Amino acid sequence: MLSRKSLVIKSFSLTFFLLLLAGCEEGPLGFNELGRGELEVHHFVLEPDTVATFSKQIALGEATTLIGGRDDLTEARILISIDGLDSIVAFDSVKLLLRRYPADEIASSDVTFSIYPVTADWDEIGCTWVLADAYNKWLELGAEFDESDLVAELTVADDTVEWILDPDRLETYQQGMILLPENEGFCYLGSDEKEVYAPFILGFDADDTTRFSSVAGSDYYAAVHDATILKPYEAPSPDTLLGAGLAWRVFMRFPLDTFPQDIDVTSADLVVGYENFFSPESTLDFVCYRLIDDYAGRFSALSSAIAGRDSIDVTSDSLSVSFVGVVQFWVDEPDSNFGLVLSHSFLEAIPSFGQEKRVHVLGRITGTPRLVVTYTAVPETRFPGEER
Amino acid sequence: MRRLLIFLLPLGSVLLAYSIFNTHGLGGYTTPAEFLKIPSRTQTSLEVRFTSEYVYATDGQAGQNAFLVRPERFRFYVPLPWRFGLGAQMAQRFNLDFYVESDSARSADYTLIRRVKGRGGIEGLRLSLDKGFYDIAYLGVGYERLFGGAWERWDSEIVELGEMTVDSLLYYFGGNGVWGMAGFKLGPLQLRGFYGYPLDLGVTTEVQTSRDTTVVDSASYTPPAELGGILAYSANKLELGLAYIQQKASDHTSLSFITGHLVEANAAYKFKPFILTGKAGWKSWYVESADGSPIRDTYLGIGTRIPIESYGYGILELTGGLREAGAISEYHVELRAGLEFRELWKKRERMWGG
Repeated sequence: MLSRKSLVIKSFSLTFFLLLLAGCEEGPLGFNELGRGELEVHHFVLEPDTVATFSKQIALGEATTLIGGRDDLTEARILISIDGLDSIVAFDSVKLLLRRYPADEIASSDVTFSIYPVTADWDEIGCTWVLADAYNKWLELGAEFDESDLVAELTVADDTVEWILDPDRLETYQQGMILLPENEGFCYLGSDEKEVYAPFILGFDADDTTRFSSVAGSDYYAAVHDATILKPYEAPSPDTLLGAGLAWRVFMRFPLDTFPQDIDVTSADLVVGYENFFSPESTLDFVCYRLIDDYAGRFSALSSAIAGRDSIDVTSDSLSVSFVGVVQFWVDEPDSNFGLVLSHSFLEAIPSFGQEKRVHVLGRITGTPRLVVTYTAVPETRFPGEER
Repeated sequence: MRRLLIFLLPLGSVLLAYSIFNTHGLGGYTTPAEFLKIPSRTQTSLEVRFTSEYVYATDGQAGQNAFLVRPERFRFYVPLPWRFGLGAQMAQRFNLDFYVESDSARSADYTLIRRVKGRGGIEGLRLSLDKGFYDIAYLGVGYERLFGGAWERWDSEIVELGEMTVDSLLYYFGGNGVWGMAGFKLGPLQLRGFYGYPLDLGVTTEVQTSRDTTVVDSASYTPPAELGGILAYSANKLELGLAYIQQKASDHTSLSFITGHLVEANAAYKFKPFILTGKAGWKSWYVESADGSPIRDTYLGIGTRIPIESYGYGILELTGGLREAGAISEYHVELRAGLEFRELWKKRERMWGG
């Protein structure tokens, strides 16, 4: 028999737990009571008020890939020098072995190179071509060579290419040579930076084969230095070229002044028509930066933070890069909208993004780029003050 | 140990309640304890109460239900020499807990759903000093510090994009108020009148969008004044009380205050060893619903006070009611539990002092 006290306590406890079991269920109810917060998604398609294309020379020394070849718009040349190699005279023959990327990694053409001695010192890191324009003069390192002195001809047709070195050309090898492509197409060779496909030197004599070491002080020391330089040229047409190697980039700026300041940008997609001229890979990687100062051609200052990326199939005729965060930033701080730059990412030297391959890619933008934006209004405060 | 627990419980407060109508004005209004009942002025007392609340809201088509728990009140009163009395109370004065959700709204080929959750409220720390005259009359004055904060989370979902933005509105409150009261005791009858005069309540708003943008805004409002009275009758086994409170609005800002009313009748009957309690009330809010309808709340409650030897009482109360305005109705059930200690310190003093 329960006491009255116990009965009361148990009755209340039971009620409490029944309520607890009811749990919480939320449904579409009561929003109108708020009296604030519009229920509308705003959708805008913007066209840029400015579009420009510019090229940026990217030094390809110490790249993992040596690009050699040409098409009707670009010519990529390879520089090679060999330190040491003094012990070349001890062997019956010595070969430099260059290795082409397997076709399943990067599709290459068969390319024949004429090899000439360079006539000026060059540096593996900064070598490039000479080009002067209104802004500045580019570096000259690596561009000069003696075209009357053909050192050799070399055809890259297999995954491994052998080049028999001449002991009488030791000084030329040490000074450096330039490999000029003689036919259309591009091939991609491993560089000294690429451990798996790095070039190496073998010495042969009657009894043995010796691999030269790149460690200074070794008995058979020979270190290969290499780089790619891309022959500059003037833009052949008003096309908005977009490429890599001699990196063609497109600047565009979208006017966001018409947007209210207090909005939540829910999507912002840059939609660009694209026609691909050349790529050795089956996909194209694009990257979009925001400018952090006024546009200044290839000297434009880009934000180190990448705004958006996209990867598309080479056969695609458009790409769409989402950079909702940047558009929100521009809306919040309108003075920061200096525009954006779209480029291929193949030649971006950003190890953290795993850009191991540096390949030549070229295409052009078709039509007018568009920025497709959706946004919702930021909720109004419940207690509006005088400042709003 | 028990005293320590009593002090700690309110500190760990999870200030939650629930009403769609809390979206209006300064939120749901809570009446101070001394404006509803006339407690003893001759005994030291300490009271802690918690409320668990179940609400089912519906507009006839959709429904929501929620069950939440919150501390309701912490109150302390101690008689002083020369018929003075000192009181302190901590309670939430305006509650801003709510949840609302929009229907799917189509615009520009997109479907938007907004869900808004509000949490927090305006707390009141009330201090009072009263003085009795010949055991038949007393006068009291009080000061109230209003403080606290609230947070609204807005989830906006665009169905087609699979995108969700989250915005937060943070409100910080700070304000003051004063009140005065006067009472008479004539045999079994007691009468109390009071008037609470609020000063400006400052509100600072911070807006945090999905991208961490912050906009700071500030505003100032004057909460409604509170005036009214209590008539109480106390016999051997029976206690009866009737309270009336009017919330008189003088603020003409965007919060659109109107005059609110509350009438509550209380009864207690000593049914050894318990005291059985009951109440009935009707409240008309100091704000209107979105469609201009008055918000009204009718409720009934029963309860008991269970004696705890040498300490005081345990309090249990079950209240149910209907809150409605326009098309929205809220059925609410509250279960209150609390402890009321009487003369606890006085008894201890005797033990320690001999």
